[in-house]
Parts: sequence; structure tokens; C-alpha cells
Amino acid sequence: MKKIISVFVILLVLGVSHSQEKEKRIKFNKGTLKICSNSHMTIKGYDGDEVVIKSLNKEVRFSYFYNFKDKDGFTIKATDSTLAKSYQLLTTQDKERELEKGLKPLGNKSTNPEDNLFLDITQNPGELIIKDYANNRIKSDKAFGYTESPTGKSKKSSQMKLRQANDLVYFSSANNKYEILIPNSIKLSWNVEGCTKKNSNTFFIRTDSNPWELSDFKGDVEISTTYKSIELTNVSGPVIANTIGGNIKVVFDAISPSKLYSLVSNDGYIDITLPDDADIKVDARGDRILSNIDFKILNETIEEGTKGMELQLNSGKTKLKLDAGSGNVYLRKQE
Amino acid sequence: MSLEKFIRDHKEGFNDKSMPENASTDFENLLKNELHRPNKVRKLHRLKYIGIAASVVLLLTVGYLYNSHIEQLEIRDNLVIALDESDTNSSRLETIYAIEEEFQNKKEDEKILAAFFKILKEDSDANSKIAVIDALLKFPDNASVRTNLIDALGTEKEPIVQLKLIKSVAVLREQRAKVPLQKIMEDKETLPLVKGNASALLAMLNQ
Repeated sequence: MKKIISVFVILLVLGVSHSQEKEKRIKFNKGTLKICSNSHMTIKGYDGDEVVIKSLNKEVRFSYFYNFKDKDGFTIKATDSTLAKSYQLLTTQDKERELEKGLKPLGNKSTNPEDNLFLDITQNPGELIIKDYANNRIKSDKAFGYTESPTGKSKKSSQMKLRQANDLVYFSSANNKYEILIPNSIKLSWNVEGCTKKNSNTFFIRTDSNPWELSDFKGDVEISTTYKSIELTNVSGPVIANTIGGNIKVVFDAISPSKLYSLVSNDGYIDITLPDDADIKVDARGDRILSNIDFKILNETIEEGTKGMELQLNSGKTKLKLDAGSGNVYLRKQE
Repeated sequence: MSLEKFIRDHKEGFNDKSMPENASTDFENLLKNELHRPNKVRKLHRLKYIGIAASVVLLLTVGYLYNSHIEQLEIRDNLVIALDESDTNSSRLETIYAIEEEFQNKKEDEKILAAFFKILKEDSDANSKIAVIDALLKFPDNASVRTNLIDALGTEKEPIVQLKLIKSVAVLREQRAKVPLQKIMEDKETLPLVKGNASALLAMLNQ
């Protein structure tokens, strides 16, 4: 077994960057928008044909990573001393900013993370993918202030270090905040784990106070989160959402549910506010099911300590399938 | 003159017991039949009519049941095809829920089970897999249901589905789940919460 000693130094993080370009517009009105991001986002639907991303960060933070050496002989050489490089970056910023005045970066690809508001943006036919910036930026010596030269034979060890570095980068991106406007004509697939099924690289913080928000959207929605709560307001659906450890809150105050809602929460609660005239059939499961709505009870069970209920309001045209696991289900009347 | 006196005075006139000339012979036959037919024959005739009526009802019932069975099979086939051809996750989910409602409280259907097993094995969305697991758990005694749930536990990578499978296997108290549970616990990429649940179930199965 190869023993690898890698020393990571996270240096004086603060690549403070007064993001010049605070808004990015991407023409996209048909297909699927995939958001694979750990950053805090508030998404709103609108009748337009552009995806508009606004950075809500006063200053965007990013990290410099220095991986000095491993035992296989993979050496990283700093082109300058670490501090000198940081100094150089900071002093040239002002000069560049002067030259950039009145201009904006073209396209979705850039060597400077600032240009895409510290997001990775990839556009394919029928697909727009937005990821946290850090996912592949480790390869860029410019952004991280070092060059790397493999002196050993092992390419594998190099890949491994990059992976480790990636894990750390996830940590920094959770602080970024964005507001995104999306056209109602597209489908939204929103995954806060970077759209992978790899579990170990997910670093999470429970954030009950600030749920990830989606509002006023009329297209198809799929959301998946881990330890993050989500709040949907006036989202017509169909909606497929699941969360481990997060809560799901849904509010209908301007529209009535008209398409399928399938919500699964492993142990968080599901809280839905509905208008009196909603035509819904609710199939709910949870520890407790509480409501102030005059539902017709079609069926009621308790299996393995979980309560299940089939409820109907008015004609029962639209299906709401709610599985809160060991959490509660709250069904509220719109005030 | 009272009626009584009139009858007494014309007594002889009332002795004529023969049928009037103009009465139909047919009526006589009918009357004979009605008054002198043996009870047994009448009962047999009644039974014959009841038998015919019952046969008709039986035939109609069998026809209705056959038609409804054919109709049910058609509905099933259409739903299974719709499941296979779903182009969005929401349409697949809607079909799964429709199957659940249509076949509620009915015996398991092999074709539907096969379609559900396919969803478990494929790279389907988590909510569809969870809906399928719920539907399969209605047949806890079916051997292929149990085997497929254990197989899924060994291959599934989506944490929320893994958690659902662990809960399902706990309900089934399946000893064969020990191997996949061990595998989940040893996998470095397993979410800590999933590992915790797997470990708890393994301890329960080892008791």
C-alpha cells in the first residue's frame, strides 16, 4: 500500500475580490437547467428567455491551496513565495479593473472565476449546467498561485490529491449566495450535492433558518438536498423533491396546486399551506399528520409506527404524495 | 219481489249445469288444465324457468367477469407500457401511483412486479424508487419481492433510497440483508447517517 503524506495548507484564504460583474445573463429558454451547487440560492421563475444570475456576495471569497509534497515524489513548486504571489495578485487587480471599465466578459468560459461569479457554467444543446466554481479550478495554477510538476511516475497520486483538494473546496463555496431568475419554459433540476452520488465529499451545515428557495415557477422541478431545507412558493409543478435531514415548506398563496407534488423527507417535516378551494388528494405519511383543513378522510393506517392517511379536498383532482419519514406533516389553511 | 223469492219460484231454471253453447271449447280445456293438473308437473315447469333464468344470469356474470378481467389486463398492460416509456420522472411517478391505486388490495401481478424491479435496478430518480419500494412492501411474503429489495440494498448508491431500503429490510427482518449491510458500512463513500442506520439494523439482525 502506498503511503502518501500530503500536507495541505490553506493559505490566508481571502482572495478578496470585489466582483465587478455582479450579474450574468445566459440565453436559455428550452431544455433543462441543472444546478449542482452547494451555494445558497434563491430561484425565481419569470416569463423571459434568459437565465439571470445575480451574486449577492459583497465580496466573493475563494481559497488558495498549497499541497507541498507527497512521498511519491510529487512536488509542487511555488513560482514565487506564497505571500509574494498573493501580493502580486492583489496589486494587479486595481490596474486591471481600470482597464476593464465599461466592458464585460464574453461567453460562459473564463480563466478568471470572477467572470462567472465564481460558478462553473456549461451550456450544451438543451442543457445548461451551473456548478460551484471550485469543482475543477484546482487545476488552474493562475487561480491558486502555484504550478505543479510531477517528478514521480505515479499519475494516480496526482489525481488523488486533486480529489482531496476538491473536498476542501466544497467547504468554501457554501458561503456564497446567489439569486437566479429562470424562464418558466424550462425544466429545473436542482441538486445541492454537485449532481453526483458520491457521499463522502458532501460537507454540510444544517441551516434551518435559511432554506434554499424557489418561487413563482411554472415548469417541471426536481430538487434533491442533504441537510438543507427547501421552501417552494407558488410553484405550479410537477414537483419532485427529496431531502435527508432538511425540511420542506410549500406555500400556495397565489395559485392552487394543479400538478403532481411528490415530496420525500427522511426525517424533517413537510409543511404545506393550501387554499380552501384546492382540488387535491393527499397521500401523507409521517410521525404525525396535523391540519386545520376540513379534509374528507378516505383511509387511515398506522404501520411500523408511521401514520398514513389518504385525504381529499373538493374533487381531489391533483395528487400530493407526502412522505415525511419520522418527521411530521403539517397541512395548513391559507390565512 | 225479493231475489230469494224469485230464485225459489224459478228453481228449475237454475239447474242447467252445462256450458252455454257460445262458450269456447278452448276455455274449457284451459280450465281443465288449470284445475286438474298435478302439482309435481307445475313445480317442474317452474324450476325449468328458474333454471333458464339462472343460466342466463350465470352466463352474463361470467361474461362480465371475463370482460372485466380482460379490461383489467388491458389497463395493466397499458400502465406497464406507460411506465416503460415515461420520458420524464414526473410522468413515471404518476404512473407508479396510478398502478398503486388501480391494483390496491389485489393479488400481486407478475408483470407489474417485473416493471417495478426494473425501476429499482435502473438509474431512476429517488422518488420513483421510494414509491416502488412502498408498493412492493405490500407483498412482504412474495419471495421475488424480498430478493429484489435485498439486491437493491447491495447496489443502490443514492443515500435517501439506501435509507428507505434499510427501513424496508428491517420490516421484513431479512437475514440475507447482512451482507449488503456490511458492504454499505465498509464503503467509504456512504453517508454517515446511512452507515449509522445500516449498523443499527445489522445489530438488530444479529440478535
